[in-house]
Amino acid sequence: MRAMLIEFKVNGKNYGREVRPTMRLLDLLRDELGLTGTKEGCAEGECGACTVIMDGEAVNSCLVLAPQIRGREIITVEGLEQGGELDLLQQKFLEHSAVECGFCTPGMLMSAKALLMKNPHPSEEEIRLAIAGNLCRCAGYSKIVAAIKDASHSADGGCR
Amino acid sequence: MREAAMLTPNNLSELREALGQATPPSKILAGGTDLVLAIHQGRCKPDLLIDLSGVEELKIIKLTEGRIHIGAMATFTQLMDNQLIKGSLPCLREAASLIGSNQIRSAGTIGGNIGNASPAGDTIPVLLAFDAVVRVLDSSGQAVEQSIDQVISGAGRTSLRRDQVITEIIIPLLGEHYRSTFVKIGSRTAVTIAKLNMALAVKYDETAKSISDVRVGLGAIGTKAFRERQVEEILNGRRVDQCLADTLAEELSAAVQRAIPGRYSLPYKREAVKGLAQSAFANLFPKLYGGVSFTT
Repeated sequence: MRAMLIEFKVNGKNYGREVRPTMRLLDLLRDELGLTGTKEGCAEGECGACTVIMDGEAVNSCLVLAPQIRGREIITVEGLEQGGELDLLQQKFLEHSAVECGFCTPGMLMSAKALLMKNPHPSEEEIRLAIAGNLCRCAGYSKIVAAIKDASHSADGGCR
Repeated sequence: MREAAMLTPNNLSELREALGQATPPSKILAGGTDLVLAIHQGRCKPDLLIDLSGVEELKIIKLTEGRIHIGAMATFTQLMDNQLIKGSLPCLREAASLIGSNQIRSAGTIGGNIGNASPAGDTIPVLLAFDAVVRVLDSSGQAVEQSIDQVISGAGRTSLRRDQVITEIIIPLLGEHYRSTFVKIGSRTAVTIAKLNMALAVKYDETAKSISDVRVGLGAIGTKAFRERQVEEILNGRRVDQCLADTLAEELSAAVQRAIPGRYSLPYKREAVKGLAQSAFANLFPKLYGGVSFTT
Protein backbone atom coordinates (compact mmCIF):
# COMPACT_ATOMS: atom_id res chain seq x y z
CA MET A 1 0.00 0.00 0.00
CA ARG A 2 1.33 3.42 -0.94
CA ALA A 3 -0.10 5.57 1.84
CA MET A 4 0.03 9.35 1.81
CA LEU A 5 -0.06 11.55 4.88
CA ILE A 6 -2.53 14.38 4.48
CA GLU A 7 -3.76 17.16 6.76
CA PHE A 8 -7.24 18.60 6.56
CA LYS A 9 -10.10 19.99 8.61
CA VAL A 10 -13.51 18.37 9.10
CA ASN A 11 -16.26 20.18 11.01
CA GLY A 12 -13.73 22.57 12.52
CA LYS A 13 -11.37 19.85 13.76
CA ASN A 14 -7.86 19.38 12.37
CA TYR A 15 -6.86 15.90 11.23
CA GLY A 16 -3.71 14.23 9.99
CA ARG A 17 -4.31 10.84 8.37
CA GLU A 18 -2.56 8.30 6.19
CA VAL A 19 -4.73 7.50 3.19
CA ARG A 20 -4.51 5.39 0.06
CA PRO A 21 -4.25 7.68 -3.00
CA THR A 22 -7.44 6.26 -4.54
CA MET A 23 -9.54 6.27 -1.36
CA ARG A 24 -12.69 8.33 -1.87
CA LEU A 25 -13.51 11.19 0.47
CA LEU A 26 -16.78 9.37 1.21
CA ASP A 27 -14.87 6.34 2.54
CA LEU A 28 -12.47 8.50 4.52
CA LEU A 29 -15.39 10.21 6.25
CA ARG A 30 -17.43 7.08 6.93
CA ASP A 31 -14.84 4.36 7.51
CA GLU A 32 -11.86 6.25 8.90
CA LEU A 33 -13.47 9.14 10.78
CA GLY A 34 -16.74 7.36 11.69
CA LEU A 35 -18.85 10.20 10.26
CA THR A 36 -21.62 7.99 8.90
CA GLY A 37 -24.15 10.80 8.47
CA THR A 38 -22.82 11.17 4.91
CA LYS A 39 -24.56 8.47 2.88
CA GLU A 40 -23.51 6.39 -0.11
CA GLY A 41 -26.36 6.18 -2.60
CA CYS A 42 -25.58 5.68 -6.29
CA ALA A 43 -21.79 6.05 -5.92
CA GLU A 44 -21.67 7.76 -9.30
CA GLY A 45 -22.46 11.40 -8.67
CA GLU A 46 -26.13 11.26 -9.63
CA CYS A 47 -28.04 11.07 -6.34
CA GLY A 48 -26.29 13.56 -4.06
CA ALA A 49 -26.71 11.48 -0.87
CA CYS A 50 -22.96 11.85 -0.22
CA THR A 51 -22.92 15.66 -0.58
CA VAL A 52 -20.53 17.51 1.73
CA ILE A 53 -19.23 21.09 1.68
CA MET A 54 -15.59 21.53 0.61
CA ASP A 55 -14.17 25.05 1.04
CA GLY A 56 -17.68 26.49 0.80
CA GLU A 57 -18.88 24.49 -2.24
CA ALA A 58 -21.17 21.46 -2.26
CA VAL A 59 -19.42 18.42 -3.79
CA ASN A 60 -20.19 14.72 -4.16
CA SER A 61 -17.82 12.99 -1.72
CA CYS A 62 -18.00 9.84 -3.89
CA LEU A 63 -16.25 11.75 -6.70
CA VAL A 64 -13.43 13.31 -4.66
CA LEU A 65 -10.28 11.40 -3.75
CA ALA A 66 -9.16 11.72 -0.14
CA PRO A 67 -5.75 13.26 -1.00
CA GLN A 68 -7.57 16.08 -2.82
CA ILE A 69 -8.82 17.49 0.50
CA ARG A 70 -5.33 18.18 1.80
CA GLY A 71 -5.26 21.66 3.30
CA ARG A 72 -8.99 22.04 2.77
CA GLU A 73 -11.99 22.34 5.05
CA ILE A 74 -14.88 19.89 4.89
CA ILE A 75 -18.28 20.30 6.53
CA THR A 76 -20.47 17.20 6.89
CA VAL A 77 -24.00 16.91 8.23
CA GLU A 78 -22.51 16.24 11.68
CA GLY A 79 -20.99 19.73 11.55
CA LEU A 80 -24.33 21.54 11.21
CA GLU A 81 -25.32 21.22 14.85
CA GLN A 82 -23.50 23.68 17.12
CA GLY A 83 -23.25 23.25 20.90
CA GLY A 84 -26.06 20.72 21.03
CA GLU A 85 -28.40 22.96 19.05
CA LEU A 86 -29.67 22.04 15.61
CA ASP A 87 -28.89 24.30 12.67
CA LEU A 88 -31.87 26.38 11.56
CA LEU A 89 -32.08 24.30 8.36
CA GLN A 90 -32.33 21.09 10.40
CA GLN A 91 -35.07 22.65 12.58
CA LYS A 92 -37.01 23.73 9.50
CA PHE A 93 -36.71 20.26 7.93
CA LEU A 94 -38.29 18.86 11.13
CA GLU A 95 -41.01 21.53 11.31
CA HIS A 96 -41.99 20.97 7.68
CA SER A 97 -41.78 17.16 7.91
CA ALA A 98 -39.27 17.36 5.08
CA VAL A 99 -37.84 13.98 6.12
CA GLU A 100 -39.49 10.77 4.97
CA CYS A 101 -37.18 7.75 4.85
CA GLY A 102 -34.32 10.14 5.65
CA PHE A 103 -31.64 8.71 3.36
CA CYS A 104 -31.38 11.80 1.15
CA THR A 105 -31.67 14.20 4.09
CA PRO A 106 -27.97 14.70 4.95
CA GLY A 107 -27.16 15.43 1.29
CA MET A 108 -30.19 17.72 0.92
CA LEU A 109 -29.15 19.62 4.04
CA MET A 110 -25.59 20.07 2.80
CA SER A 111 -26.68 21.27 -0.66
CA ALA A 112 -29.10 23.69 1.01
CA LYS A 113 -26.44 24.83 3.48
CA ALA A 114 -23.93 25.49 0.68
CA LEU A 115 -26.59 27.53 -1.13
CA LEU A 116 -27.46 29.64 1.93
CA MET A 117 -23.78 30.22 2.73
CA LYS A 118 -23.35 31.79 -0.73
CA ASN A 119 -26.81 33.24 -1.19
CA PRO A 120 -28.73 33.75 2.09
CA HIS A 121 -32.01 34.72 0.42
CA PRO A 122 -32.44 32.56 -2.69
CA SER A 123 -35.51 32.48 -4.93
CA GLU A 124 -37.50 29.24 -5.18
CA GLU A 125 -35.91 28.60 -8.58
CA GLU A 126 -32.43 29.01 -7.07
CA ILE A 127 -33.37 26.56 -4.29
CA ARG A 128 -34.63 24.01 -6.81
CA LEU A 129 -31.47 24.39 -8.91
CA ALA A 130 -29.25 23.98 -5.84
CA ILE A 131 -30.88 20.64 -4.96
CA ALA A 132 -31.25 19.43 -8.58
CA GLY A 133 -28.37 17.04 -7.89
CA ASN A 134 -30.07 15.51 -4.85
CA LEU A 135 -32.60 12.77 -5.47
CA CYS A 136 -35.37 12.02 -2.96
CA ARG A 137 -36.88 8.64 -3.85
CA CYS A 138 -39.79 9.32 -1.48
CA ALA A 139 -40.34 12.31 -3.81
CA GLY A 140 -40.87 14.67 -0.88
CA TYR A 141 -39.46 17.63 -2.77
CA SER A 142 -42.21 20.18 -2.00
CA LYS A 143 -41.66 19.97 1.74
CA ILE A 144 -37.89 20.09 1.34
CA VAL A 145 -38.14 23.24 -0.79
CA ALA A 146 -40.59 24.77 1.72
CA ALA A 147 -38.21 24.02 4.61
CA ILE A 148 -35.24 25.61 2.83
CA LYS A 149 -37.34 28.62 1.84
CA ASP A 150 -38.50 29.03 5.44
CA ALA A 151 -34.92 28.88 6.74
CA SER A 152 -33.87 31.49 4.18
CA HIS A 153 -36.62 33.86 5.34
CA SER A 154 -34.99 34.28 8.74
CA ALA A 155 -32.95 37.47 9.04
CA ASP A 156 -29.54 35.83 8.59
CA GLY A 157 -30.67 33.44 5.86
CA GLY A 158 -30.19 30.46 8.12
CA CYS A 159 -26.44 30.98 8.32
CA ARG A 160 -24.91 31.35 11.68
CA MET B 1 -4.86 -4.47 -8.31
CA ARG B 2 -1.72 -2.50 -7.58
CA GLU B 3 -2.52 0.73 -5.79
CA ALA B 4 -1.83 3.87 -7.80
CA ALA B 5 0.71 6.37 -6.56
CA MET B 6 -0.14 10.06 -6.49
CA LEU B 7 1.94 13.15 -7.10
CA THR B 8 0.64 16.45 -5.78
CA PRO B 9 2.53 19.31 -7.44
CA ASN B 10 2.06 22.72 -5.82
CA ASN B 11 3.15 24.87 -8.77
CA LEU B 12 3.92 24.68 -12.48
CA SER B 13 7.56 23.74 -12.01
CA GLU B 14 6.66 20.83 -9.72
CA LEU B 15 4.00 19.89 -12.27
CA ARG B 16 6.68 19.70 -15.01
CA GLU B 17 8.75 17.37 -12.84
CA ALA B 18 5.69 15.22 -12.11
CA LEU B 19 4.90 14.94 -15.83
CA GLY B 20 8.40 13.50 -16.35
CA GLN B 21 7.39 10.47 -14.25
CA ALA B 22 4.23 9.71 -16.21
CA THR B 23 3.93 6.41 -18.08
CA PRO B 24 1.19 5.38 -20.59
CA PRO B 25 -1.35 4.28 -17.93
CA SER B 26 -0.77 7.42 -15.80
CA LYS B 27 -3.63 9.88 -15.45
CA ILE B 28 -3.97 13.58 -14.80
CA LEU B 29 -6.51 14.21 -12.03
CA ALA B 30 -8.40 17.48 -12.50
CA GLY B 31 -11.85 17.81 -10.87
CA GLY B 32 -12.22 14.04 -10.76
CA THR B 33 -15.94 13.87 -11.57
CA ASP B 34 -15.32 11.31 -14.33
CA LEU B 35 -11.91 9.86 -13.41
CA VAL B 36 -12.66 9.08 -9.74
CA LEU B 37 -15.75 7.16 -10.84
CA ALA B 38 -13.79 5.25 -13.51
CA ILE B 39 -11.12 4.30 -10.96
CA HIS B 40 -13.69 3.25 -8.35
CA GLN B 41 -15.52 1.09 -10.88
CA GLY B 42 -12.27 -0.49 -12.05
CA ARG B 43 -12.61 0.83 -15.62
CA CYS B 44 -9.40 2.79 -15.20
CA LYS B 45 -6.30 1.39 -13.49
CA PRO B 46 -3.66 4.12 -13.41
CA ASP B 47 -0.18 3.46 -12.00
CA LEU B 48 0.22 7.13 -11.20
CA LEU B 49 -2.16 10.02 -10.62
CA ILE B 50 -0.96 13.59 -11.01
CA ASP B 51 -3.36 15.72 -8.97
CA LEU B 52 -3.62 19.29 -10.27
CA SER B 53 -5.73 20.61 -7.39
CA GLY B 54 -2.74 22.17 -5.63
CA VAL B 55 -1.52 24.18 -8.64
CA GLU B 56 -3.03 27.61 -8.01
CA GLU B 57 -1.74 29.05 -11.32
CA LEU B 58 -4.20 26.77 -13.11
CA LYS B 59 -7.25 28.40 -11.50
CA ILE B 60 -6.79 31.93 -12.84
CA ILE B 61 -9.19 33.62 -15.29
CA LYS B 62 -7.88 36.80 -16.91
CA LEU B 63 -8.22 39.04 -19.97
CA THR B 64 -5.04 39.78 -21.91
CA GLU B 65 -4.94 41.56 -25.30
CA GLY B 66 -8.46 40.69 -26.34
CA ARG B 67 -8.17 37.04 -25.33
CA ILE B 68 -9.64 35.47 -22.23
CA HIS B 69 -7.25 33.04 -20.55
CA ILE B 70 -8.95 30.40 -18.43
CA GLY B 71 -6.81 28.16 -16.23
CA ALA B 72 -7.47 24.49 -16.92
CA MET B 73 -8.51 23.94 -13.28
CA ALA B 74 -11.20 26.65 -13.31
CA THR B 75 -14.39 24.89 -12.23
CA PHE B 76 -17.74 25.28 -13.96
CA THR B 77 -18.99 27.11 -10.84
CA GLN B 78 -16.06 29.51 -11.18
CA LEU B 79 -16.97 30.09 -14.85
CA MET B 80 -20.56 30.85 -13.80
CA ASP B 81 -19.55 33.28 -11.03
CA ASN B 82 -16.74 35.05 -12.91
CA GLN B 83 -17.61 38.64 -13.95
CA LEU B 84 -15.32 38.56 -16.98
CA ILE B 85 -17.04 35.45 -18.35
CA LYS B 86 -20.48 36.84 -17.48
CA GLY B 87 -19.75 40.03 -19.42
CA SER B 88 -17.74 38.75 -22.38
CA LEU B 89 -18.63 35.08 -22.88
CA PRO B 90 -22.21 34.60 -21.71
CA CYS B 91 -22.59 31.53 -23.92
CA LEU B 92 -19.70 29.80 -22.13
CA ARG B 93 -21.37 30.71 -18.83
CA GLU B 94 -24.61 29.21 -20.14
CA ALA B 95 -22.84 25.99 -21.16
CA ALA B 96 -21.14 25.73 -17.75
CA SER B 97 -24.44 26.32 -15.93
CA LEU B 98 -26.09 23.42 -17.77
CA ILE B 99 -23.44 20.85 -16.85
CA GLY B 100 -24.43 18.23 -14.26
CA SER B 101 -25.56 19.33 -10.83
CA ASN B 102 -24.31 22.04 -8.52
CA GLN B 103 -22.02 19.42 -6.90
CA ILE B 104 -20.56 18.38 -10.27
CA ARG B 105 -20.07 22.01 -11.32
CA SER B 106 -18.15 22.85 -8.14
CA ALA B 107 -15.65 20.05 -8.82
CA GLY B 108 -15.59 19.65 -12.62
CA THR B 109 -13.16 21.80 -14.61
CA ILE B 110 -12.92 23.22 -18.12
CA GLY B 111 -9.55 21.52 -18.64
CA GLY B 112 -11.09 18.22 -17.59
CA ASN B 113 -13.98 18.76 -19.99
CA ILE B 114 -11.46 18.88 -22.85
CA GLY B 115 -9.07 16.20 -21.53
CA ASN B 116 -11.92 13.78 -20.85
CA ALA B 117 -12.96 14.25 -24.51
CA SER B 118 -16.55 13.19 -24.04
CA PRO B 119 -18.45 13.65 -27.34
CA ALA B 120 -21.16 15.33 -25.23
CA GLY B 121 -18.84 17.75 -23.35
CA ASP B 122 -20.83 20.97 -23.04
CA THR B 123 -18.06 23.55 -23.23
CA ILE B 124 -16.56 22.04 -26.41
CA PRO B 125 -19.05 23.43 -29.01
CA VAL B 126 -18.58 26.90 -27.48
CA LEU B 127 -14.80 26.64 -27.59
CA LEU B 128 -14.98 25.46 -31.22
CA ALA B 129 -17.29 28.32 -32.21
CA PHE B 130 -14.89 30.85 -30.67
CA ASP B 131 -11.78 29.24 -32.25
CA ALA B 132 -10.35 28.75 -28.75
CA VAL B 133 -6.87 27.31 -28.40
CA VAL B 134 -5.44 25.14 -25.66
CA ARG B 135 -2.07 25.73 -24.06
CA VAL B 136 -0.27 22.45 -23.50
CA LEU B 137 2.77 22.09 -21.23
CA ASP B 138 5.19 19.17 -21.26
CA SER B 139 7.79 17.79 -18.87
CA SER B 140 10.61 19.70 -20.57
CA GLY B 141 8.81 22.97 -19.86
CA GLN B 142 7.87 23.55 -23.46
CA ALA B 143 4.41 25.09 -23.95
CA VAL B 144 2.54 24.96 -27.26
CA GLU B 145 -0.83 26.25 -28.39
CA GLN B 146 -3.09 23.75 -30.12
CA SER B 147 -6.63 23.98 -31.44
CA ILE B 148 -9.42 22.09 -29.64
CA ASP B 149 -9.76 19.97 -32.76
CA GLN B 150 -6.08 18.99 -32.61
CA VAL B 151 -6.27 18.05 -28.93
CA ILE B 152 -9.49 16.02 -29.03
CA SER B 153 -9.02 13.08 -31.40
CA GLY B 154 -12.14 11.01 -30.69
CA ALA B 155 -14.53 9.75 -28.03
CA GLY B 156 -12.52 9.78 -24.79
CA ARG B 157 -9.26 10.20 -26.74
CA THR B 158 -6.83 13.09 -27.03
CA SER B 159 -3.61 13.60 -28.94
CA LEU B 160 -1.79 14.59 -25.74
CA ARG B 161 1.39 12.69 -24.93
CA ARG B 162 1.72 11.12 -21.50
CA ASP B 163 4.02 13.93 -20.34
CA GLN B 164 1.69 16.70 -21.53
CA VAL B 165 -1.03 18.57 -19.68
CA ILE B 166 -3.57 21.24 -20.61
CA THR B 167 -2.74 24.34 -18.58
CA GLU B 168 -4.90 27.02 -20.13
CA ILE B 169 -7.75 27.61 -22.54
CA ILE B 170 -7.40 30.81 -24.54
CA ILE B 171 -10.50 32.32 -26.11
CA PRO B 172 -10.19 35.23 -28.57
CA LEU B 173 -13.10 37.61 -27.92
CA LEU B 174 -15.34 38.38 -30.87
CA GLY B 175 -16.20 42.04 -31.48
CA GLU B 176 -19.13 43.93 -30.04
CA HIS B 177 -21.35 43.24 -33.06
CA TYR B 178 -21.31 39.52 -32.38
CA ARG B 179 -24.08 37.56 -30.72
CA SER B 180 -23.66 34.04 -29.38
CA THR B 181 -25.63 31.38 -27.57
CA PHE B 182 -25.40 27.81 -26.28
CA VAL B 183 -28.32 25.37 -26.38
CA LYS B 184 -28.64 21.78 -25.28
CA ILE B 185 -31.12 18.92 -25.30
CA GLY B 186 -30.94 16.16 -22.69
CA SER B 187 -33.37 13.69 -21.22
CA ARG B 188 -34.40 16.27 -18.61
CA THR B 189 -33.76 19.95 -17.85
CA ALA B 190 -31.13 19.71 -15.11
CA VAL B 191 -28.38 17.20 -14.33
CA THR B 192 -28.36 15.72 -17.79
CA ILE B 193 -25.83 14.55 -20.35
CA ALA B 194 -26.41 16.26 -23.68
CA LYS B 195 -28.12 14.28 -26.43
CA LEU B 196 -27.37 17.29 -28.62
CA ASN B 197 -25.59 20.54 -27.87
CA MET B 198 -24.72 23.51 -30.00
CA ALA B 199 -23.03 26.89 -29.86
CA LEU B 200 -24.03 29.48 -32.44
CA ALA B 201 -22.16 32.75 -32.90
CA VAL B 202 -22.82 35.34 -35.61
CA LYS B 203 -21.77 38.87 -36.52
CA TYR B 204 -24.96 40.90 -36.81
CA ASP B 205 -25.31 43.96 -39.01
CA GLU B 206 -28.06 46.07 -37.38
CA THR B 207 -28.62 48.19 -40.50
CA ALA B 208 -28.77 45.46 -43.11
CA LYS B 209 -30.33 43.04 -40.57
CA SER B 210 -28.02 40.34 -41.87
CA ILE B 211 -25.49 37.97 -40.38
CA SER B 212 -21.93 37.10 -41.33
CA ASP B 213 -18.97 35.15 -39.87
CA VAL B 214 -21.42 32.46 -38.78
CA ARG B 215 -19.94 29.86 -36.41
CA VAL B 216 -21.74 26.62 -35.61
CA GLY B 217 -20.24 24.22 -33.04
CA LEU B 218 -22.16 20.94 -32.77
CA GLY B 219 -21.70 18.27 -30.10
CA ALA B 220 -23.02 14.87 -29.00
CA ILE B 221 -23.22 13.80 -32.65
CA GLY B 222 -20.65 11.17 -33.54
CA THR B 223 -17.33 10.71 -31.78
CA LYS B 224 -16.33 14.34 -31.31
CA ALA B 225 -17.82 17.81 -31.51
CA PHE B 226 -17.21 19.71 -34.75
CA ARG B 227 -17.69 22.96 -36.65
CA GLU B 228 -20.40 22.60 -39.29
CA ARG B 229 -18.72 24.67 -42.06
CA GLN B 230 -21.28 23.83 -44.75
CA VAL B 231 -24.15 25.23 -42.65
CA GLU B 232 -22.01 28.26 -41.74
CA GLU B 233 -21.46 29.04 -45.44
CA ILE B 234 -25.16 28.76 -46.26
CA LEU B 235 -26.07 31.21 -43.49
CA ASN B 236 -23.34 33.76 -44.19
CA GLY B 237 -24.67 37.09 -45.51
CA ARG B 238 -28.32 36.09 -45.11
CA ARG B 239 -31.01 38.43 -43.85
CA VAL B 240 -32.43 37.57 -40.43
CA ASP B 241 -36.06 36.50 -40.47
CA GLN B 242 -38.14 33.49 -39.48
CA CYS B 243 -37.35 31.95 -42.85
CA LEU B 244 -33.64 31.95 -41.93
CA ALA B 245 -34.39 30.14 -38.66
CA ASP B 246 -36.20 27.47 -40.65
CA THR B 247 -33.28 27.25 -43.07
CA LEU B 248 -30.90 26.75 -40.13
CA ALA B 249 -33.17 24.00 -38.79
CA GLU B 250 -33.32 22.18 -42.13
CA GLU B 251 -29.58 22.56 -42.82
CA LEU B 252 -28.66 21.29 -39.34
CA SER B 253 -30.95 18.33 -39.83
CA ALA B 254 -29.10 17.55 -43.08
CA ALA B 255 -25.78 17.98 -41.24
CA VAL B 256 -26.83 15.42 -38.61
CA GLN B 257 -27.77 13.05 -41.43
CA ARG B 258 -24.29 13.50 -42.98
CA ALA B 259 -22.52 13.06 -39.62
CA ILE B 260 -24.14 9.88 -38.34
CA PRO B 261 -25.69 7.95 -41.27
CA GLY B 262 -27.23 4.68 -40.13
CA ARG B 263 -26.74 5.41 -36.42
CA TYR B 264 -29.67 4.24 -34.26
CA SER B 265 -30.04 7.74 -32.79
CA LEU B 266 -30.25 9.40 -36.22
CA PRO B 267 -34.07 9.48 -36.58
CA TYR B 268 -34.31 11.21 -33.18
CA LYS B 269 -31.40 13.59 -33.56
CA ARG B 270 -32.18 14.82 -37.07
CA GLU B 271 -35.61 15.96 -35.80
CA ALA B 272 -34.47 17.18 -32.36
CA VAL B 273 -31.77 19.39 -33.88
CA LYS B 274 -34.51 21.44 -35.58
CA GLY B 275 -35.86 22.46 -32.17
CA LEU B 276 -32.34 23.23 -31.05
CA ALA B 277 -31.93 25.51 -34.09
CA GLN B 278 -35.12 27.42 -33.30
CA SER B 279 -34.08 27.82 -29.63
CA ALA B 280 -30.64 29.10 -30.63
CA PHE B 281 -32.10 31.52 -33.16
CA ALA B 282 -34.63 32.78 -30.60
CA ASN B 283 -31.83 33.45 -28.12
CA LEU B 284 -29.86 35.45 -30.71
CA PHE B 285 -32.86 37.33 -32.09
CA PRO B 286 -35.53 37.37 -29.34
CA LYS B 287 -37.64 40.01 -31.14
CA LEU B 288 -38.45 37.51 -33.88
CA TYR B 289 -39.97 35.27 -31.24
CA GLY B 290 -41.76 37.96 -29.22
CA GLY B 291 -38.98 38.18 -26.63
CA VAL B 292 -39.05 34.52 -25.58
CA SER B 293 -35.67 32.97 -24.77
CA PHE B 294 -34.72 29.35 -24.32
CA THR B 295 -32.09 27.96 -22.03
CA THR B 296 -32.38 24.36 -23.15
